[in-house]
Amino acid sequence: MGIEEIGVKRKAQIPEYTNPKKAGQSERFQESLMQNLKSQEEDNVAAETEGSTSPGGRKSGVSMTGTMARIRVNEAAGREAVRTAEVRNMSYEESDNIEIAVTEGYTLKGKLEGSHVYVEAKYDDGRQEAYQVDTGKVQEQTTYRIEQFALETAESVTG
Amino acid sequence: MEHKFEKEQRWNELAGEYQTMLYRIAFSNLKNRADAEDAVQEAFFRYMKDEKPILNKEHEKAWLIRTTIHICMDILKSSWHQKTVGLDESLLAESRSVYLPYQVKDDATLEAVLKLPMHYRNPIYLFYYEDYSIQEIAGVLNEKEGTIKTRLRRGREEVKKILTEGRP
Repeated sequence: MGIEEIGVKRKAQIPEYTNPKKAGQSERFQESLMQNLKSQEEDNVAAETEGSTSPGGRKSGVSMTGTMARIRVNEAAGREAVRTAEVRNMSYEESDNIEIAVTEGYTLKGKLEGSHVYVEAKYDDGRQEAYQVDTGKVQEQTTYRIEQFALETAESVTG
Repeated sequence: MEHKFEKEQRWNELAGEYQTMLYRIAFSNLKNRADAEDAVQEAFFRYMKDEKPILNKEHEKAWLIRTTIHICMDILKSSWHQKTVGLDESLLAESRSVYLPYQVKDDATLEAVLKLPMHYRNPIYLFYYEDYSIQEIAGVLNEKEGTIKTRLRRGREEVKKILTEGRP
């Protein structure tokens, strides 16, 4: 009796093991992935048409804004009144207007510079971003926090 | 004689530059004006006595903040402080001017921040009210940047709890 014969016989006796955890896992993953992609697409379309602030990060502009329920900074992309600018690390003392939003995880600093307002945003995940907002082009009914803050800053200076 | 004069001059420079900021940090920890003044004075004393070289302005500032916070912790841990109930002046209206050199729109949030445990309060206070970056806070508190981010996030959740449920 050779070794191969024993091996063949044993292999035939052992039933094939199926991992109960993995059964159907790939199908479920694919299904949930498709669902997520679909809902993300719907949200993007809704955000673009409304042009409003909404919780949750979406890809818009330069980079992902993350999943924080706060102002959508990169919504600046595509807005006529808002341009991204270089962060100057302006102090509170230099600023005309500040907003400290501890529960939302950000601070805003604004300074009126001619017809523009320079706005600097700092987040508790370490991000810092800056914008130049042309207040003349901002719609009064805007719901975008950066634009609202720029208007408040201009009003606080000019009265 | 000249040495004494130099020291006095240095003392005045330091006081002019950092006194107010250090006092606010001490007050946010101790919630009592007299204790905060003592803590700041002690920090300046230690700085003047310390012979270690200070590399630059940022290092100097970080050293003073760190020392002030450590002194505050010592005061809070002292047996005198443990056995007595100090007057919490942080809620008094006239103390609001102590906090910050600018107008804060939301006093309730600041009061909630002051109720946080120390390990959340200091990063949050420095980040939001003194406008420090995460990197700077990490340097001041001798912690990793990741730790500071975590404390800011968790501290923010605690502030929300205090504001909604009224408990720290």
